[in-house]
Parts: sequence; C-alpha cells; structure tokens
Amino acid sequence: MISPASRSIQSTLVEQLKERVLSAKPVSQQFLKSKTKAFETAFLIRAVENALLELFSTGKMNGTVHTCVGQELTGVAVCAALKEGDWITSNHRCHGHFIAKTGRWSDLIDELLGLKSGVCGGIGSSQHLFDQGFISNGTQGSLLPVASGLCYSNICAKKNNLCVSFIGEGTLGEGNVYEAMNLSAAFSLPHVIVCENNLYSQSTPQGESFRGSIKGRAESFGWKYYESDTWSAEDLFSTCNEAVAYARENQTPVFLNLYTYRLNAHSKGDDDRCKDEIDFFFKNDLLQRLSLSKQFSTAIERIDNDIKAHVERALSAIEIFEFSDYIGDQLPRSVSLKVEKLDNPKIKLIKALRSAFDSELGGGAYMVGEDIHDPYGGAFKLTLGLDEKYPGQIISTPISEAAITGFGIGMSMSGRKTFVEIMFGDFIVNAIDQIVNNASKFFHMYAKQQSANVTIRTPMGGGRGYGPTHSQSLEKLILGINNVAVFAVSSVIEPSNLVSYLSSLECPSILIESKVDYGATLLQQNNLKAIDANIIGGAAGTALLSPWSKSYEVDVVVIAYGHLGRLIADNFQKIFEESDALFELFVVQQLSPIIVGHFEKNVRIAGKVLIVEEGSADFGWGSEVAYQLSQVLPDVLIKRLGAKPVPIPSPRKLESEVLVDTKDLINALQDLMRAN
Amino acid sequence: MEVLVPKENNNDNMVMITRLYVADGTYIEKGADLIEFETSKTAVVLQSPLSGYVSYLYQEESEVEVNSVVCTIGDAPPKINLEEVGLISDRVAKNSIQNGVIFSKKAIQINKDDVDIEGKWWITSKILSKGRDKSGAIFTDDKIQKSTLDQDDIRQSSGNYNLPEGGYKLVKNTMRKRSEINSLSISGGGPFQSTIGIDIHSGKRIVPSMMFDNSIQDLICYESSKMLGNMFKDLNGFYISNSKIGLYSNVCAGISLDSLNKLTVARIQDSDKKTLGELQQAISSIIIKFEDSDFSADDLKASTYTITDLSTSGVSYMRPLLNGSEALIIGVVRRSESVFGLYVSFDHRVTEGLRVASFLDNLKKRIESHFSTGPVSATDSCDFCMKSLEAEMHLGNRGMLLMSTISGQKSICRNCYEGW
Repeated sequence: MISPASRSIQSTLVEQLKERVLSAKPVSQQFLKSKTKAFETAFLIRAVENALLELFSTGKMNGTVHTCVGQELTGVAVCAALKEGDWITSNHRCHGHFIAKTGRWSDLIDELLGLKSGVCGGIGSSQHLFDQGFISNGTQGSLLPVASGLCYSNICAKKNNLCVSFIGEGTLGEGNVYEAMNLSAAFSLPHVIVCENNLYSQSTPQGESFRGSIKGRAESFGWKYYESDTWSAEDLFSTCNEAVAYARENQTPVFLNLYTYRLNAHSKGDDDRCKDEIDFFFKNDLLQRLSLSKQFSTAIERIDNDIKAHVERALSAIEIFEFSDYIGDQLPRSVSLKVEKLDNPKIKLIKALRSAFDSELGGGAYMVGEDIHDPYGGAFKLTLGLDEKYPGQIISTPISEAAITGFGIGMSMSGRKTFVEIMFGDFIVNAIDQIVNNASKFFHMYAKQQSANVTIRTPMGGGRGYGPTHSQSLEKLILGINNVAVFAVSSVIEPSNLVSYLSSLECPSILIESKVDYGATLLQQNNLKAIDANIIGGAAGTALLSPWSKSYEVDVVVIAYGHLGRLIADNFQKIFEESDALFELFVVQQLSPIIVGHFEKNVRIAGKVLIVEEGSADFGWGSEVAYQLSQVLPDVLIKRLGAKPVPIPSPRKLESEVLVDTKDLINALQDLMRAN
Repeated sequence: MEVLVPKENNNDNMVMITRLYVADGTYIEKGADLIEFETSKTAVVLQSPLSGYVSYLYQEESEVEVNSVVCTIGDAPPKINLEEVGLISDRVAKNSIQNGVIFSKKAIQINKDDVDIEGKWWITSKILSKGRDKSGAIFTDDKIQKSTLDQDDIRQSSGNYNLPEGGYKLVKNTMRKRSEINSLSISGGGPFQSTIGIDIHSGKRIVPSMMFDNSIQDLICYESSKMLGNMFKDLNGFYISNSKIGLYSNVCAGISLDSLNKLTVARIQDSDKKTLGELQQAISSIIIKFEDSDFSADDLKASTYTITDLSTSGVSYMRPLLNGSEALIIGVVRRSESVFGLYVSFDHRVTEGLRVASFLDNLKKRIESHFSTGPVSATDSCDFCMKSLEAEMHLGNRGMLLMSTISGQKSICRNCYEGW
C-alpha cells in the first residue's frame, strides 16, 4: 500500500503535470508544416504500437511488449537533432526510439513475430534491438556505461559524434546510472541522457520511489540540465536540438528531462492507475488531437494500410532463425596437441605481463582501470610506465567496477581491443551485470551482428593476509557464462602468447591473474630436477611437467592453474617424497572452455587425477573438469582440492590453513593412492 | 682425503664397484684392500692410500665414473644422518640419492636387494614392489598398452617396454656382457648384415703343423689378412654413414675365443705382415692367455675384422654377428673330417655379396693350396738354389713358379725369383 506521504507527493506531481499540459503552447501550423516528416514518424510509431498490441491480444505474438503510446515525440524530437554516426542506447520501451532512429518499422514487427527477417532475427524481440547506431537491452540502466564507452571511442576516432541514452525516471533508482553519470562527467564525454519522465515506474508512482529532484541530481554530477515536455511540441524540438548541440560542441554530458505520459499499461494489461487520470492525458495528448484534424489524416491512413498489408504478409511468413545457426558461440574450443619445450625468460611474471601488454598497446589496444596511470602504475604496478609510453591509451577511472566494465564493452564495440582491470578479483562481482547481461549476450541476442571482445583482467587469490574481501578466488562465479571465455595466467608459463591470443578472440574473456604469483620469476627448466617441462597446444596451451619416468609408472595426473600450478612445480620433489605418488603436473591456462584433450591421454594412462583450484572446491572449476573427464574416461578415479569453504581470514597461519598448501596436496595424493 | 676411481684402460668411462672390503665408517690400514672394481675387461682391486676411517660414497654394484671420487678417508668416523636417508642398511638409497635418483620416503624404508632401478629417476614404494600395485598385480598390460610412444617421447628414460606377464627374476649383467652388448650395438649390423658361406676341403697339410693339426684357423687368418691387406682392402673397414665409410690403414685380425661366460676377441696386430709361422705363434699364445685370463691391454684393443672358430663343436651352420666397428667376420664350422664350412657375415652398407663371394672364392683357393690330396713330390725343388718345395711352403709361399727359360721350363722359388 502506498503511504499517505507518498500518495500526496504523487498527487502533487500529477497536478503539476496537468498544469504543464494545460499551459502548453499550442502548436502552430507553420511549425507542423516544417516538421511534417517528424510527426508522420510519430504517427507511424503509434500505429505500429497499436498493431503490436492487437497482435498480442489475438494471440499471434509471443513474449511481451512495452508500448510507448503517448511518449512518441520524445524519440522523434531527439532523433531530429542527431546526425550520422551518433548512437542511441535504449531500454525496454524502445520501439519509438528505434523507429525514429532507423525507420525500420516493418523489421520491428517481424522481430516481434519471431521471424528471421526481424531486426535481430526474431531472437531478441521487443527489448533487445540492434542496428548500427542503436542498441537496446531489457535491464535498467545497464547500457549507460556502454554508452560512455561508445562516446569515448568516438573521441579516440576523432569523430564528432555522441551517444544518447534513453531512460525512464524509474531507472534513476539504479546504481549503473550514477556510475555512468560520474564517469561521463569525469571524462567530459558528449553523453546525453534523455529521461522520459512519466511519473510511473511499472506500478510504482514516482512519489513513492523517488526523492530529491531530477535537476538536482543531474547538476550535482556536473551535467548540463535541460527540460521540456511532449505537449509543448515547439519547445520540445528546440530544447532537444539545443541540448544535443550543447553536448556535441562542448564535449560535455547533458541531461534532458522530458515530461510525458504513457497512455497504455506498462506492458499489457497491467495498469492500476486512476482511470480519470489516464482519460485526462488521453484527451490532451497532442498526437491524439492532431489525428482528429484533417492535416494528417491521409498520412495516418496510408500508415495504417502499410502496416496492415505488412502484417498480413508477415503472418504468413514462416522463416525463423535456425537452431543450428543460433546455437554456435564464439568460444575457443579447438584442440591443438602441438608440444614445445617450455623455455621461459628469467624475468618476473609481472614484468612479463607488463611487456605483453606493452605489445598490445603498441598495436592500438586500450587499458581501462582504477589507478593504472603513471606514476602510480596500478595497485600491483603492472601498468607502470605504460601510461607515459602510450598517452591516451591507459584510461584511469573512478571507482566504478560496473561502469568501467560497461565502458570497456562500449569501447570494444568500435573494434578497439580493450582490457578492463578490476583491481581485486573480489570486486568482479560488481561487474557481473555488465558481463552477464551485456558482454555475454550481445553476440546471440543481436543475432550475431555484434560481438563484445573485451577482456576483463583481475588478480585473484589469497596469501598476503589482505583479509576476506581482498583475497578471494571467485572463479566459480564467472565460469560457465555464455560466450565468455576464462583464462588464468601462471608464472609457470611466459604469458605474452596468451595475452596476444586474447586480442585475437572475438568473444568476451576474463583473465585471472594472481597477486602472489606476480612477483615470482618465471619457471626455469634448470630449476627442475629430473623433470621435463613442455607446453601443449600453443598460445592458450597447457604446461606439462613430467618427471623422467615411463608413462605407465605415473600414478596420478595433477591438474592445476595459476599460482597453485607454480606452487606444485616448486615443491614437486617434496610432494613426491612425502606422498609416495609419482605424478605429473598440468598447468592449464584456458579454464573455460576446458580442453580435455590436452591431458586426456595422460589421465587415461594414470587412472587417477587430482584437480586443484584456489577457490573453494564445491561447485567449482574442478567439478566441471571432473565431469568432462568422466564423460570420456568413466573408470578414472577423481579427486578435487580447493580452499576451505569459508571467507579467507587475515592472520598468516590461519590463512594458510584455509588455503591450499603442500600439506593438502600431499594428503590428497595419498588419499588417491589408497583408493582403488 | 678423496680416493678416485682408477682409469684402467682407454675404453671405459664407467666401472662397477663389485666389492667394498671394509664396512662404511670403519678404520682401514694403509695398503689394505679397499674397493674392487670391474672394468669391461677385468677386475681391479684398489688398495687404501693411507690409514683412516672410510666413508664410501657408493654401494656395491654401483656404476661409477672413472676419475670421480669413490670414497673418502678421514681422521674421524663419518657422521651419519639417519633422518636424511631413513634406514641405511644394505639398500640403495644413499648412493642413488647422490646420483640424482629421487626416492619417496616410503620407498627408502623398503629393504629390497633384487629390484632393478636402473634407468629410473623417481622411485616410489610401488615401483620397488617390482611394479606390483596394491592388489598384487604387476603393472597391468593395459596400463602399459595405454602408454604410447609419444608419451615417452616427452619423457626420458631407458628400460624395458613390454614386461611379460608371468613371474621373472632380474639378473644384472656383468660389465663384460654390457661391454659386449654395447659393442654389438655399435656395429648396428642388424638388417644390413648378410652371410655367405663356402666349403673348404682340407686334407694333409703340405707343411705339417702340430698345433693346427685339426684346424684351419691359422690358414684362414694368414690368407684372409693377406687378402685384406692387398686386393680386398675395401673389406677392411666399417660403416660410418650414408655418405662415408672408414677404411682401416692396417689389418688386425681378431681371434674370437669363447668358454663359459668368457667370450673375448683378442687381436693380432698387422696380421697381414706376419708369416704363417709367426701367425701360428701368435694364435697359440692368445689361446694360452685366454685360458689363463692373462691378456694385456694391447691384446684387447679393437681388431679390424674377426675370425670366430666353432669347428671344434659339432655345429654345421653359423651366422656370426659383426663385432664392433667392423665390416667382416669369418665363422668356421666343420662338416666332416676334411670339409670345413666358412660363413662370412658382412656389412652390406660397406660392400656387396658379389664382392664377398669373390673374396671367399679366392680365400678357398688359397687355403686349399696348403693341402695336398696326394703325397708330396719330394723331387720338386728350386732349380737355382735347390730348396725343396716343402721348405718353400713352410715359408708360407703357396708353391714355386714354373718359369719358361731359353733352356726349357724350370722351377724357381720366390727368393730366387725376387732376389734376396
């Protein structure tokens, strides 16, 4: 139940809005004549929306729709101010924006009918549309940071283009919005947010869910504020024009607050608003009034006929996106069994990584992250010196993991390889929405028209006593996300091939680094006694440390990655001596998708396998490897080893008992040897 | 003081410790027997250079590098770190750890003498249990089958691939046998060895010999050496590669002698330059040395070709294996009272059948010329110096020349024809 206080705020707001409507300056004929096309577009939008509603009501359409009837002029007016190369990000109520920007109304109908001829092959449907210059998604506010990235990439390309983000005023509850507003202001981007302020978010009145003022919010973030409404048509068009021009000329973000009213339900049939209120706004709706006049009657009729004809055709069309075409993703699954000797230079991992990224930057890549500029050079000093060497390519950001990830996605859409750094792996959870709802989905939901080849890199792991929120290994939370590949660096393998491999991928990827491993000198063959070190499978390949022995004498195959891979390599002999198990060690770089082929044969021979990970084992990486091995080798004995399932404590001794250490490895191997 | 492994001959880089005369850590007098080594040829006993407490670095049956430190002799008994090596008793641990072999803690505690860990670097208790796993099964066939060659390309090791399924006992090879195996492996004759045989008809020797009454070994040696030194020089060599072979600059016949476990090849240096008499002497002396096991280092140096004589046994066929870096080996068997069989194995990469057949044809003729099927004509003599035919043949010549002169046909011995 809405509280009395909120109810009173809401009624004030509604009254104020009604005032606006009644005092709106009438539209002059001259103006209408000059904006005929624009208004015809507005009518087109309305007709399409109504047609869609009808198709739904007659059961011919699948899914959902959020019509913008009553708000059409916002999209039309804003688009009138845009030029070629400008981008729009939109939300669930995007049809008006889409038709205003692209004109592809028939493709939109096809899209909602689920046809292959639709905007995104029928796959995304109403809320997930894509075209060059237009992108929409059903999650509130999550495209705003992406818009920031698109703006930035325009600046890099020295194009005088900008990006407009449509939101509702309800979206002003989402953190994404404020992160993006801060980011765009901090970077001085020509980012225009258009807020369609219709006093209601789904079923919640603004009076209940919003406090403060929209103007206050915009200006407190340093955005230039404009406002208008969809009843004062002349003022609307000129304000939109002014706002967009301001952003473009001054390279600064602009907030455009447009009062309007949605005449239909939020989606279909879910409308609890007061009927009288709706009636009022319906009667006073500009387009409604104009439709009654003769001026646009021919146009309206033509539009209706066109739509009818198209709908008829579309209803008899049957071509949908093939399952087999849809199902394929961009993940690297190819298996190479090429074996090369492991021959690492004698440098620390951090230095090797720095020089690998140096190469990438030299090739035009960008790095985004917190505190990565010079002279600081990043929390772990990985980017030290790179900012000076490649000015403009090292983008140091505010503390906004979600926004900078979205920003990176936007940058990557322009074809610029972008590496986003999340300072500590623990904070990657802040970026999960961007990874899951944007990066992961672009390829499929936009019918394979757009990829997001961003790489998110982050150091995970404990061992420094940094405590529960600075020591986690959260691999299990980011493994198995559609179309997102996951890799891990280790000081066992020189990383430059892996890093340049990431640049060649089309899908988004996550690179897990290890804070403890950064400082290790890369593994030297000379330090390995009676062990051969090789790497199987090239750039994203798996290292194999095999003790000098006959293959049938090996008792256990140990599979690890990252820092633990190095730990086992360094303590190979000790672990052997204590456990009485002859094992060989695979240090994997590609965590997902798992390339079982690299170690399948060895596991088959040994018959026993131990999978080691730094995070806790349950529901983790080891479980997936175990499953995949069990599918090809049903007789194999499998054990997995991870940290204890508790937050990582700070005190040294306690921490090392929680994390995996050599003692745990020895015990695990002994258990495996006992088992039969 | 460090005691080094002695270098007994030019061939051996490694020798085996066959006996440690005193217990580790005990006191030894100067001059007392310290260690017995076995080289590829013989056994050597090293005496202690001074008095003191011995600390052996290796155990019996270890292979050690020549000129490396084999033990130290100090003023005080050496300290023993029990923790480091577990139970020191008779077992392998201490020596192998120092050689780089890595033992698991459990493996060190196993006390077994008869397991061969040769070629292994990582020893678990399972490996020491003769490859038996917990259930008692030896490394199962399918585990071995599952491992393939390319797995082992990634590994370094030596050792047996296909272990048979039944029980078996491991017996260590002596140094001598190992040396022989190495030697056989060097020539690598293998698929390139071919054997051709020919029969030799003997009879009564024109120049009788006591020692070689019932054997033609001397004649084979004499004639074959001469031929290899003259018109069959191309057979006196060895295979190097596709593009080259080596030809020896001298001829040294190797005489192969065998009695139980003592197969040896002794050589006669410059056998092509010796007379038959000298050769007979040389061969006899070799036989005596063999029986007494009294060869000098020189005797055992490499030959350029070998003769192996099985004519005293009852066999009628043999296919001798090429020895070391050689291209030719002549084997002798006996078919009957007066018929010997010669089987020549040769390296087909150095020569071909037709050439070797020609060699054999020639050899047969020359050997057979030492025999007569009838009584020797006592009247045959040199018309110039009156030397008898018998005496001429005793000198190793095959006969006398029949010369046409103005005054008719005359016999002339070699010396008279060639001059003194």
